[in-house]
Amino acid sequence: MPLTLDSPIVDEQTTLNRTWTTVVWNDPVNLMSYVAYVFRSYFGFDRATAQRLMLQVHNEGRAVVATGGREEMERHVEAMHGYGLWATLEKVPV
Amino acid sequence: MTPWTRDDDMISAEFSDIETAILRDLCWQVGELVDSADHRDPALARLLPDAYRDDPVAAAEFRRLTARDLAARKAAGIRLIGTMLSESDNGRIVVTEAQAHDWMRALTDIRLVIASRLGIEEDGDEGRGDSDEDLFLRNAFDWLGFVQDSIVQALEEAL
Repeated sequence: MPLTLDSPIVDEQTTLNRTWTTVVWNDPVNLMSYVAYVFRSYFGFDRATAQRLMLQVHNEGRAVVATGGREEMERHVEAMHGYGLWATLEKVPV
Repeated sequence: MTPWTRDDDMISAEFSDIETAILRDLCWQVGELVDSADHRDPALARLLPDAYRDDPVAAAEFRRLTARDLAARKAAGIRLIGTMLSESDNGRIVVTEAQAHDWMRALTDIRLVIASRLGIEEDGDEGRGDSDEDLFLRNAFDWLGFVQDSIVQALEEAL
Protein backbone atom coordinates (compact mmCIF):
# COMPACT_ATOMS: atom_id res chain seq x y z
CA MET A 1 0.00 0.00 0.00
CA PRO A 2 1.58 3.30 -1.04
CA LEU A 3 2.27 5.91 1.56
CA THR A 4 0.22 8.99 1.18
CA LEU A 5 0.20 12.31 2.93
CA ASP A 6 -3.24 11.59 4.20
CA SER A 7 -3.69 11.16 7.89
CA PRO A 8 -6.88 9.16 8.09
CA ILE A 9 -7.33 9.33 11.87
CA VAL A 10 -7.06 13.10 12.05
CA ASP A 11 -9.23 13.47 8.97
CA GLU A 12 -11.90 11.32 10.50
CA GLN A 13 -11.84 13.28 13.74
CA THR A 14 -11.98 16.56 11.90
CA THR A 15 -14.92 15.32 9.90
CA LEU A 16 -16.70 14.09 13.01
CA ASN A 17 -16.06 17.37 14.79
CA ARG A 18 -17.46 19.49 12.02
CA THR A 19 -20.61 17.67 11.03
CA TRP A 20 -23.09 19.87 12.87
CA THR A 21 -24.53 23.26 12.09
CA THR A 22 -26.46 25.91 13.96
CA VAL A 23 -29.47 27.01 11.94
CA VAL A 24 -31.49 30.15 12.69
CA TRP A 25 -35.07 30.22 11.41
CA ASN A 26 -37.24 33.12 10.38
CA ASP A 27 -39.92 34.26 12.79
CA PRO A 28 -42.47 37.08 12.59
CA VAL A 29 -41.44 38.70 15.86
CA ASN A 30 -37.75 39.46 15.93
CA LEU A 31 -36.65 42.69 14.29
CA MET A 32 -34.16 42.52 11.46
CA SER A 33 -31.91 45.03 13.23
CA TYR A 34 -31.95 42.91 16.38
CA VAL A 35 -31.17 39.63 14.60
CA ALA A 36 -28.24 41.24 12.75
CA TYR A 37 -27.00 42.74 16.03
CA VAL A 38 -27.15 39.38 17.83
CA PHE A 39 -25.20 37.76 14.98
CA ARG A 40 -22.54 40.48 15.23
CA SER A 41 -22.22 40.64 18.97
CA TYR A 42 -22.47 36.90 19.71
CA PHE A 43 -20.65 35.32 16.76
CA GLY A 44 -18.34 38.26 16.09
CA PHE A 45 -19.34 38.59 12.44
CA ASP A 46 -18.55 41.84 10.68
CA ARG A 47 -21.47 44.09 9.81
CA ALA A 48 -21.76 42.87 6.19
CA THR A 49 -21.74 39.17 7.13
CA ALA A 50 -24.26 39.65 9.90
CA GLN A 51 -26.50 41.60 7.54
CA ARG A 52 -26.22 38.96 4.81
CA LEU A 53 -27.09 36.10 7.19
CA MET A 54 -29.98 38.07 8.69
CA LEU A 55 -31.39 38.71 5.21
CA GLN A 56 -30.95 35.03 4.36
CA VAL A 57 -33.01 34.13 7.44
CA HIS A 58 -35.63 36.68 6.47
CA ASN A 59 -35.85 35.88 2.75
CA GLU A 60 -35.12 32.16 2.62
CA GLY A 61 -36.55 31.22 6.00
CA ARG A 62 -33.30 29.94 7.47
CA ALA A 63 -29.55 30.38 7.53
CA VAL A 64 -26.62 28.35 8.79
CA VAL A 65 -24.74 30.62 11.16
CA ALA A 66 -22.14 28.21 12.53
CA THR A 67 -20.56 24.84 11.78
CA GLY A 68 -18.58 22.64 14.12
CA GLY A 69 -18.77 20.01 16.82
CA ARG A 70 -22.06 19.00 18.36
CA GLU A 71 -21.40 20.36 21.85
CA GLU A 72 -20.29 23.70 20.47
CA MET A 73 -23.40 23.91 18.29
CA GLU A 74 -25.59 23.05 21.28
CA ARG A 75 -24.01 25.94 23.17
CA HIS A 76 -24.75 28.25 20.25
CA VAL A 77 -28.36 27.06 19.99
CA GLU A 78 -28.88 27.58 23.72
CA ALA A 79 -27.40 31.07 23.44
CA MET A 80 -29.68 31.89 20.49
CA HIS A 81 -32.68 30.67 22.52
CA GLY A 82 -31.44 32.98 25.26
CA TYR A 83 -31.73 35.84 22.78
CA GLY A 84 -35.18 34.64 21.73
CA LEU A 85 -34.06 33.54 18.28
CA TRP A 86 -35.47 30.32 16.89
CA ALA A 87 -32.41 28.11 16.40
CA THR A 88 -31.84 24.40 15.88
CA LEU A 89 -28.91 22.03 15.38
CA GLU A 90 -28.60 19.98 12.23
CA LYS A 91 -26.26 17.27 11.20
CA VAL A 92 -24.56 18.10 7.93
CA PRO A 93 -25.59 15.54 5.29
CA VAL A 94 -22.55 13.44 4.39
CA MET B 1 -40.37 57.52 25.92
CA THR B 2 -37.13 59.07 24.76
CA PRO B 3 -35.07 56.84 22.42
CA TRP B 4 -32.07 55.13 23.96
CA THR B 5 -28.87 57.10 23.63
CA ARG B 6 -25.30 56.16 24.29
CA ASP B 7 -22.95 58.17 26.47
CA ASP B 8 -19.54 56.50 26.72
CA ASP B 9 -20.14 53.13 28.38
CA MET B 10 -23.70 53.79 29.46
CA ILE B 11 -26.96 53.62 27.55
CA SER B 12 -30.00 55.46 28.78
CA ALA B 13 -33.64 56.13 28.06
CA GLU B 14 -36.55 57.72 29.84
CA PHE B 15 -40.00 56.17 30.15
CA SER B 16 -43.20 58.01 31.01
CA ASP B 17 -45.19 56.95 34.08
CA ILE B 18 -47.74 55.02 32.03
CA GLU B 19 -45.03 53.31 29.97
CA THR B 20 -43.19 52.37 33.14
CA ALA B 21 -46.36 50.90 34.63
CA ILE B 22 -47.28 48.95 31.48
CA LEU B 23 -43.84 47.47 30.93
CA ARG B 24 -43.42 46.64 34.62
CA ASP B 25 -46.74 44.78 34.65
CA LEU B 26 -45.80 42.88 31.49
CA CYS B 27 -42.51 41.91 33.13
CA TRP B 28 -44.28 40.47 36.18
CA GLN B 29 -46.83 38.61 34.04
CA VAL B 30 -44.31 37.11 31.66
CA GLY B 31 -42.00 36.30 34.59
CA GLU B 32 -44.85 34.33 36.19
CA LEU B 33 -45.53 32.53 32.91
CA VAL B 34 -41.90 31.50 32.53
CA ASP B 35 -41.83 30.29 36.14
CA SER B 36 -44.94 28.21 35.54
CA ALA B 37 -42.93 25.94 33.22
CA ASP B 38 -46.18 24.90 31.54
CA HIS B 39 -44.83 23.47 28.31
CA ARG B 40 -48.33 23.03 26.88
CA ASP B 41 -48.51 26.81 26.71
CA PRO B 42 -47.57 27.71 23.13
CA ALA B 43 -45.97 30.95 24.28
CA LEU B 44 -43.59 29.04 26.53
CA ALA B 45 -42.88 26.57 23.75
CA ARG B 46 -41.74 29.52 21.67
CA LEU B 47 -39.49 30.82 24.44
CA LEU B 48 -37.91 27.38 24.82
CA PRO B 49 -38.11 25.82 21.36
CA ASP B 50 -36.91 22.38 20.34
CA ALA B 51 -33.20 22.39 19.56
CA TYR B 52 -33.59 19.47 17.16
CA ARG B 53 -36.27 19.69 14.53
CA ASP B 54 -36.49 16.12 13.34
CA ASP B 55 -35.16 14.23 16.34
CA PRO B 56 -37.63 14.21 19.25
CA VAL B 57 -35.31 12.12 21.42
CA ALA B 58 -32.38 14.51 21.05
CA ALA B 59 -34.76 17.46 21.47
CA ALA B 60 -36.10 16.00 24.73
CA GLU B 61 -32.59 15.34 26.02
CA PHE B 62 -31.46 18.88 25.17
CA ARG B 63 -34.55 20.23 26.92
CA ARG B 64 -33.87 18.06 29.98
CA LEU B 65 -30.32 19.42 30.21
CA THR B 66 -30.93 23.10 29.45
CA ALA B 67 -34.56 24.21 29.75
CA ARG B 68 -34.69 24.70 33.50
CA ASP B 69 -31.59 26.94 33.61
CA LEU B 70 -32.55 28.81 30.49
CA ALA B 71 -36.06 29.46 31.82
CA ALA B 72 -34.60 30.63 35.15
CA ARG B 73 -32.24 33.01 33.35
CA LYS B 74 -35.10 34.34 31.27
CA ALA B 75 -37.36 34.86 34.29
CA ALA B 76 -34.55 36.56 36.20
CA GLY B 77 -33.74 38.82 33.27
CA ILE B 78 -37.36 39.82 32.78
CA ARG B 79 -37.78 40.55 36.50
CA LEU B 80 -34.56 42.56 36.48
CA ILE B 81 -36.11 44.88 33.93
CA GLY B 82 -39.26 45.17 36.04
CA THR B 83 -37.21 45.97 39.12
CA MET B 84 -35.15 48.58 37.28
CA LEU B 85 -38.36 50.27 36.21
CA SER B 86 -39.81 50.12 39.73
CA GLU B 87 -36.69 51.64 41.21
CA SER B 88 -36.06 54.15 38.45
CA ASP B 89 -35.91 57.87 39.09
CA ASN B 90 -38.97 59.11 37.21
CA GLY B 91 -38.62 56.42 34.55
CA ARG B 92 -35.01 57.22 33.74
CA ILE B 93 -33.07 54.02 32.99
CA VAL B 94 -29.28 54.01 32.74
CA VAL B 95 -27.61 50.68 31.95
CA THR B 96 -24.27 49.17 31.01
CA GLU B 97 -23.85 47.38 27.72
CA ALA B 98 -24.27 44.00 29.43
CA GLN B 99 -27.49 45.21 31.07
CA ALA B 100 -28.64 46.50 27.68
CA HIS B 101 -28.35 42.92 26.47
CA ASP B 102 -30.56 41.87 29.40
CA TRP B 103 -33.06 44.46 28.24
CA MET B 104 -32.95 43.24 24.64
CA ARG B 105 -33.45 39.64 25.69
CA ALA B 106 -36.29 40.49 28.07
CA LEU B 107 -38.06 42.68 25.52
CA THR B 108 -37.73 39.89 22.98
CA ASP B 109 -39.20 37.32 25.35
CA ILE B 110 -42.11 39.60 26.21
CA ARG B 111 -42.77 40.27 22.51
CA LEU B 112 -42.62 36.53 21.75
CA VAL B 113 -45.23 35.86 24.43
CA ILE B 114 -47.51 38.67 23.20
CA ALA B 115 -47.16 37.44 19.60
CA SER B 116 -48.15 33.95 20.67
CA ARG B 117 -51.18 35.28 22.55
CA LEU B 118 -52.26 37.28 19.47
CA GLY B 119 -51.69 34.41 17.06
CA ILE B 120 -48.83 36.10 15.20
CA GLU B 121 -47.09 33.07 13.79
CA GLU B 122 -45.83 33.99 10.34
CA ASP B 123 -44.49 37.08 8.59
CA GLY B 124 -47.38 39.37 7.75
CA ASP B 125 -49.72 38.05 10.47
CA GLU B 126 -51.54 41.01 11.94
CA GLY B 127 -52.71 39.07 14.95
CA ARG B 128 -56.10 39.08 16.60
CA GLY B 129 -57.66 42.44 17.36
CA ASP B 130 -61.13 41.47 18.52
CA SER B 131 -61.05 42.68 22.08
CA ASP B 132 -59.71 45.63 24.00
CA GLU B 133 -57.09 43.34 25.48
CA ASP B 134 -56.00 42.26 22.00
CA LEU B 135 -55.67 45.88 20.94
CA PHE B 136 -53.73 46.69 24.10
CA LEU B 137 -51.36 43.79 23.45
CA ARG B 138 -50.97 44.76 19.81
CA ASN B 139 -50.01 48.31 20.79
CA ALA B 140 -47.63 47.01 23.44
CA PHE B 141 -46.07 44.63 20.89
CA ASP B 142 -45.40 47.44 18.42
CA TRP B 143 -44.18 49.82 21.10
CA LEU B 144 -41.79 47.25 22.59
CA GLY B 145 -40.47 46.70 19.07
CA PHE B 146 -39.69 50.39 18.92
CA VAL B 147 -37.96 50.24 22.32
CA GLN B 148 -36.01 47.21 21.15
CA ASP B 149 -34.92 48.78 17.87
CA SER B 150 -33.84 51.90 19.71
CA ILE B 151 -31.56 49.88 22.05
CA VAL B 152 -30.01 48.13 19.06
CA GLN B 153 -29.30 51.47 17.38
CA ALA B 154 -27.64 52.78 20.54
CA LEU B 155 -25.53 49.62 20.91
CA GLU B 156 -24.60 49.59 17.22
CA GLU B 157 -22.73 52.85 17.73
CA ALA B 158 -20.16 51.02 19.82
CA LEU B 159 -19.75 47.79 17.86
